[in-house]
Parts: sequence; C-alpha cells; structure tokens
Amino acid sequence: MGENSLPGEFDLLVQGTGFTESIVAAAASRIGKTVLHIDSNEYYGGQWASFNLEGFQKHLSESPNFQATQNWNTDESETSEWTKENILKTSRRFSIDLTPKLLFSRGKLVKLLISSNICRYAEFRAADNVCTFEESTSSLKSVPCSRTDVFNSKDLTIIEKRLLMKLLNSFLNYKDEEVPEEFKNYLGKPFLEFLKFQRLTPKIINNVMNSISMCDEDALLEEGIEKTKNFLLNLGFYGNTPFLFPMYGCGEIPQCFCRLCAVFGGVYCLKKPISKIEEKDDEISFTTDNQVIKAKKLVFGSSNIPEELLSSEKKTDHCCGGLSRGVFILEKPLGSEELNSGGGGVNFLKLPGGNGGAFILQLSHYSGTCPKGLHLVHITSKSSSTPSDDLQPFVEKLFTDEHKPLYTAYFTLPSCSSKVSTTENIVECCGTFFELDYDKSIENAEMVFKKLYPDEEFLPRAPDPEEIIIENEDPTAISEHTLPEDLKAQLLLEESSKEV
Amino acid sequence: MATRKKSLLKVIILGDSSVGKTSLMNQYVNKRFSTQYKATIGADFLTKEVVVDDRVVTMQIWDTAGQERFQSLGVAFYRGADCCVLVYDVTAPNSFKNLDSWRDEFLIQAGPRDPEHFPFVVLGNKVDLENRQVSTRRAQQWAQSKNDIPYYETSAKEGRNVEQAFQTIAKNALAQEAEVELYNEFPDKIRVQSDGNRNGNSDNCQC
Repeated sequence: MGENSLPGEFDLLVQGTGFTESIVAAAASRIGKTVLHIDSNEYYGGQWASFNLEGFQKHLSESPNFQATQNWNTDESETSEWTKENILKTSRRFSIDLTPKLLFSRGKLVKLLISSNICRYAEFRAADNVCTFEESTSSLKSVPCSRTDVFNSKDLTIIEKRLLMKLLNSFLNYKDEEVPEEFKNYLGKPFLEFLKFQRLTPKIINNVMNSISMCDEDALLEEGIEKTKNFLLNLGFYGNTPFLFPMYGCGEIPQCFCRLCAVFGGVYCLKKPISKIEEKDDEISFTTDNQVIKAKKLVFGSSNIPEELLSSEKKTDHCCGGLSRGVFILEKPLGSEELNSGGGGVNFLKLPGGNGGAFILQLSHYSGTCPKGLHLVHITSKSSSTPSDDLQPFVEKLFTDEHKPLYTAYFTLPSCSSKVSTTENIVECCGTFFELDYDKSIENAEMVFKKLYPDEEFLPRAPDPEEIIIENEDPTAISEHTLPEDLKAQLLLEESSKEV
Repeated sequence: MATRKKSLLKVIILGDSSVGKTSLMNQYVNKRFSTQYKATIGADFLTKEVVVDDRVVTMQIWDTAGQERFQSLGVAFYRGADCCVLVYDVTAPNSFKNLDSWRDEFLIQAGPRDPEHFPFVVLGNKVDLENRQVSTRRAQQWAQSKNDIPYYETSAKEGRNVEQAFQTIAKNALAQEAEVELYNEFPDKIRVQSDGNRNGNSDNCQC
C-alpha cells in the first residue's frame, strides 16, 4: 500500500501530531513550505488523541508515566445487558479522549477554524446543558443560560429569575469606561464578595460563580465580569449553551489541521521514529528507516522529545501538562431524566475545589464517542498527587450508588518537566493545558509559527475546493479566480520558475 | 427520534498512490484531466449534485490528500462515509492486490453498522494504457467474492465509464439508506462557519 522512500529535503520537519504541532504544520504548509509531519505512534494526536475502548485500555497499560489504574465493576449476572464482555464488544463505538475539551461557540479555536477554512473538516454537537451540582439533593441541575431558559426554569423562583436576569444584564452592559455604581466599590476585590453583596440567593451565586463564570473562589471582580460576559456573548450561536463538542471526540481536531497540511502538500508518516538529529550549518539532518533526511527547521511536541535534544540544563517552569484524568463508563447517566431527555447529549459541569476545581463532561452516543445505552464521563483536574487521589472528592460527590461506574480509569497527563535545548531553528510545542477551550494552545502554536516564520501570515483562509485550480491551467486564468492573494502569488511564482 | 433522510452523501476514494483517485474525482466533477499534479494546492474534496430516482442529492467526494502514501490516513477521514470507492490501476498488479487491505482498513476504521452490505464500488482505472496487467475477469471475480461489489473499468484520462461509475456510487449509497432505514445517526451535527452565511438557530437571544 504505497512507496517506501521519502523525499530527501524539507523546509520543516514536525515531529508529533498533537494539537499544537498539527496547527504549526498546517500553517507552514499553507504558506508554501514543504512539510514532513511524522509521529512515532501509529495514531494521530499524541496527548490529544482519542481511542476506542480496547485501544484506550492498551494505551494506559503501556504508558508507565501515566500512573494509570483501571477497574471494572460490571454486573456479570445473566440478566445484565452490560457485562464486561458486552461492553468490550462495542469497543469501536467508543472514542475516548485523553484530553477532552469544549469549545466556546465564538472562542479562539472556532474563530481559527472559520478564518482558516479548516471548519469544513470538522463537525460538532452543541453542548446540551451547562450544569451545576446541587449540594442539598446531591444531583446535577441544568443552569439556565438564555433568557428563554431562565424564564422556563423550574429550579428558580420568580424572584430568583428576576434577580438573575438583572445581574446578567448588568454584566453584559458593563463597560470599563463608565463603571456603574454597584461595581465601583468592588473593583480589585473578590468576585464572590461582590455577588454576596448583591443580596442574591445562594443558588444564584452558585450558578454564576461555578457554572457561568467558572471562577475560582479567590477570583477578583474584574475576572468575574470578563468571564461572565464571555459566557453570555458565546450564547445564541448554536443550541442552548455557549459550547460545542467535536463529534467523535477531540482527537478529531488535530487531524483536521493535518488534513489541511496534506492538502497543501504536507507529507504524512505515522509509526515513524526518527533518530540521529543533528544541527549543522543552519541545516538539520535526521535518520528514519536508514534514510537520512534534511530539514531547515524542526518542531517537536513536548510529549515526544527526541533524545538528542535533551540537555542537562534545568527548565525553569512547567508550562503544560500536569493533569489528573478520570474516565468512567455509566449505564445510568448523571442527572435527572429531564437533563438527559432523548438519550442524553453533551452535559458539562464545573465543580469548584482546591487547585482550580474540575471540568466534568458527560457524553452520550449522540456525541459519537460511546455506544447507545452507555454514557462516558470525563473528569479533568490539575495534578498534585496520584490521579485517583486528586479526583476522589469529585468522584465521591458524583457517583452515588445509583450511578456506579461500570468501568473506571485514572491516569495522569505528565507535565513537560524535561530539559530541552532548543535553537533558533528547533522549537518545542507545549502539551495540554488545564483550560476548558484551546486558547493557550493556539497562542502557543502561533508563537511557535512566528518564531519560525516571523514575517508570514498565520493560517490565512484556505480556498474552497471549488476555487482550487486544476493542474496545467493557463496561469493568466488563475488570477481571475477568487483565490486569496498569497496563493495567487505562489502559483504565479511557480509557473514562472518552471518556464526558467 | 425523527428519521431524517440524508441529502448529503459522503463518498471516500481509497486505493494506492497514483492509481488515479484524484483524476477520477476531477474528471467526474470538473470534466478535466491533467497528467501533472500541482504541489501548491492539492486535492481536497469536491461536491456535485446528482439526481437519483428523482431525488437530488449532493455528493461530497473526499480525496485522500496524499495521506495514504505512507499509510497515514487518520480515522477522521473515514467518519460518516456513505460509500467507499476502491480504485486500482489495471497496469499495476500490486495496486490490485492491495484492494483487500484497503477494504479491510475501511471496515475497521469506518466501522459501518452493517459491514456485510456496506456499499463499495471497485474501479479499475487507466484502461487507456496499453500495458494492462490485471485482467477484467480477475478483477470481476474479486469483486464478486466480496458480496458482489459493482465493478467498473475506467479511464479518468478519457472520461470513459466515469459518469456511470459515480452514478452507481450515488445510487447504491442511497439504496443502502432505504434498505436498512439508515437514519441519520447523529441528527444534530453542526458545521461552524462565519456569521455571514450561518443558518443556525437564531431563536436563542443573548440574555
């Protein structure tokens, strides 16, 4: 199925197909650089990959630095539908993310997907509910997001509805230039203190703090305003919440960027370890399958650092990773029937707690990540001890006797604590961050790209297939097409170089 | 849940490098052929409206974008495919032998609900060339042995049989839908696009 030898020279070698590396690869290919994108794994995504159930189990057991534990707790009696064997039979229906995320409807990633036109490769489901955990009943409740939702909510009294609407409106209309009276005295003070002073009910404070703004307890009013406003401004685009979840899981996203890279000529090689990396006279050479290949620049992902690049210097900060993760398979989903009406969808919950709390995502088969009749729950927190210890407080809260997981897995996404020597032409991409969306990772990708190609545009819009020029056409005809300027220039340049 | 009929068919083209996948697609959609690839902008996917049994459907034909060259097509490529076109080059016996692995790869990666009856079509391309190495009989036998996959011999260069082959592709993809009452597995899928041409729901006003 294909040839075996690679071209001998590239502008850029990208090692690792994680989210950040894949964006850099796409951006370089997009501006006409020749890119070789390699991964030693046989799958795309690195720490951002999704696996089917069997693949996931295998991956955990084969990653010693993950501190992984797995545990089955199925009912093995004859009447039980979901025995371990039956669940494993549906393995391929699962798509379990190492790094689950939600996208703000008009967040950085969605905007990037749209502006680069990579959006045509991706499909999403609008998150169905933003939830809150009601301590008194130990259950999940949907947080009303839109005006309609607030008025239809059965969980709020009429007075609470009015208070909430008034509060949200005041955030939405907040301007730095003319700070309203009620805000003035609290600038620079904790957001929670401000909310408490507004004579709101505990329910509303909880909704605004933990579900809408997702602020830590010590967040200042300024942060609270910004985050609440951001939440509200992302409403009304798709569905009832401000969030989107990638169909089939977040592991699809890096592959969308890789496809763009390939469409623009990038060469793809999975299952391809490289060795003997050397930088000499502004040129990098490396060996793969006994073939020596040259590249002008090299980018690698932090979860897959080439040995040659490890240095003895101590790295100053842990920039990424360091996440504790829990993955749970449930038969009966968390929350009421109403919350999971129609078979459930994508439900999101932020639980407060020390060290930033935890993001919790419950997925039904409509997300394309688990079989019908089962539900997948992801918990993500910052890591400070073992993953199971870190997540214990959240797990105890959520999984009561009624919602005992059939399968439980804990693992760590390690932080990039290695010591790496990089140069002007060798740049490292960070791994995953503790954030709901992808903002920091996109910033990182853009930063890496600008380091490599300071004067070039970062992911300008790619033409639609209909605009693509078929080979051999008259170059003068090309300019009549609605191609972006940069591509016109590239095409014409190529034509003229051929003539010479 | 409502059963919604699909009006968009995702068709993916598989086969070894340089058997003519991109050319077939271009010939069918754009009625053009070229012997030369432009490196700057490669093949992505093309769409074409087809009429099958008085029904207008949009066929979206996805090229491998070269990622098949080193067996590096990610699973995302296979998602939601309604039909799979397997292409080999009649002058390259290896590309014929590899049809088995491409078919298996598709069934594993795409994981269709009913693999036995999933619509495939096999195309033996480059019949305009003189040094033919794979006989029609051999190819037909193979296609028959795989649950009677329809088989066509095509020339993307001369446009021979291309229209017919793709018509069958569309027809079989739709027939499959009728047979197993293949409802849209994921009815609420969203594609994001710029605000200008978005037709999402607008009844959700901001607070």
